[in-house]
Amino acid sequence: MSIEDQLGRHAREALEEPVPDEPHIDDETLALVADGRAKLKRAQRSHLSRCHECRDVLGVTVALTRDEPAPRTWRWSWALVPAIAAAAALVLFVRADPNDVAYQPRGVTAPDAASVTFLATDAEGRARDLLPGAQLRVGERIGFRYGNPRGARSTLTVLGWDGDRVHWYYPDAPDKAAHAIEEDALSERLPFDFTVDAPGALRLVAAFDVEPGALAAQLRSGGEVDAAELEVRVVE
Amino acid sequence: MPDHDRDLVRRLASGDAAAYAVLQEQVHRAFEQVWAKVRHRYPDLESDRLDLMQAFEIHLVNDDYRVLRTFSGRSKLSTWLFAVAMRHVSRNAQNLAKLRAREGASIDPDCADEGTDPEVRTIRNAEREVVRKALLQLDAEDRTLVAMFYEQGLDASQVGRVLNISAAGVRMRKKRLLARLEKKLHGAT
Repeated sequence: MSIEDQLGRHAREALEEPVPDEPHIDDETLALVADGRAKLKRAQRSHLSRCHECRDVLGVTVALTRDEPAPRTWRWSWALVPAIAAAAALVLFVRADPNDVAYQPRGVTAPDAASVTFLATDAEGRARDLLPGAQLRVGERIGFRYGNPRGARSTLTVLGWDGDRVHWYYPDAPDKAAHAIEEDALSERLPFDFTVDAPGALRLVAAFDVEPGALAAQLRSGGEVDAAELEVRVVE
Repeated sequence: MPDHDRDLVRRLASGDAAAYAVLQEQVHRAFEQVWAKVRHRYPDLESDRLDLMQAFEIHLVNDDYRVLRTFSGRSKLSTWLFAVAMRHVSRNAQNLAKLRAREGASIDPDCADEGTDPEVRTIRNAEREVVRKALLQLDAEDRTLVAMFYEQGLDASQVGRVLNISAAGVRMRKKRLLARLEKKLHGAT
């Protein structure tokens, strides 16, 4: 009998152990992993290897869902080379705080620096990096990617300002806390994109370890913000 | 949270009956899809399917949507429903199966596939023990890889989502792992 036959025949029973005496991985985290939008932390990976119940939940959920962020083909990677090169030349850069962690676009990120990249996805699912002054069409989606390789940051807030109201992306409501980020992320896509639904100027800002309400207040006051920012124009 | 999920949760919170009908449809669809994936594990419980589905719906909405309120919107609602449905099925179906076994209605899975021939069962148990010992020596990532392929029946790209590596990386890792396991299993037999 081949090794694969043996495993196919016995794996389920051979791997079955008493459910570990520790909390299960919560169902929403497993759902995020199934959607390809999050990865498990070390302790969760260890639990998964010992807990057949969580494996059943994740296995079935993965089998029933598709990987949402479309994999980028090589053709698209090549097409993005000029955009990445352009992004490298344009620094969306502000000082974050005395720790000297900077916000930078992809392409110029220092290995130990936290960074944020703004993305847009069109109706056909084609993603592009957003550069200052970029145009988006109503109905396109904006998304965000961050890096936190040194683990120096713990939360990220991303808001929009259209000159009249604040758009809440991360968090998605004023009464919620800032979005918790991974400690060792090199380039992590935030789980949800957002549809731009009205024409006009849109100012996007992203800041690590700030209180979302304070950042929103800075935006409303029209002053400068301690955040990476990018102004785009939404057209019909 | 995607806009349509946010809208549904908001409408439910405001007591919108139409929103409840939408939720109910999603809940039933999620349950049926999960059940279709796992029904072969619980052949004796086919007649309990509707009861299990009803229990799942009650589990979600009971006590003023207590379980549904734990959904924070980080994932898609549809995917979360799959996960919660599977956890619910797993726990309740096992309890029901145990109950049936106590009532004498269930069939021992070993006997179901191989009859009651004690010699066949002994050989099978010995094979399983060899595999179990080999798998116990693997680290967490490799055990999960084996489990996702051979216990859960996923393909390389799906396993890649679990392990957060590419499908090509999964295939390479699987090939190396199988070679290592083969050595261990042949050494043991």
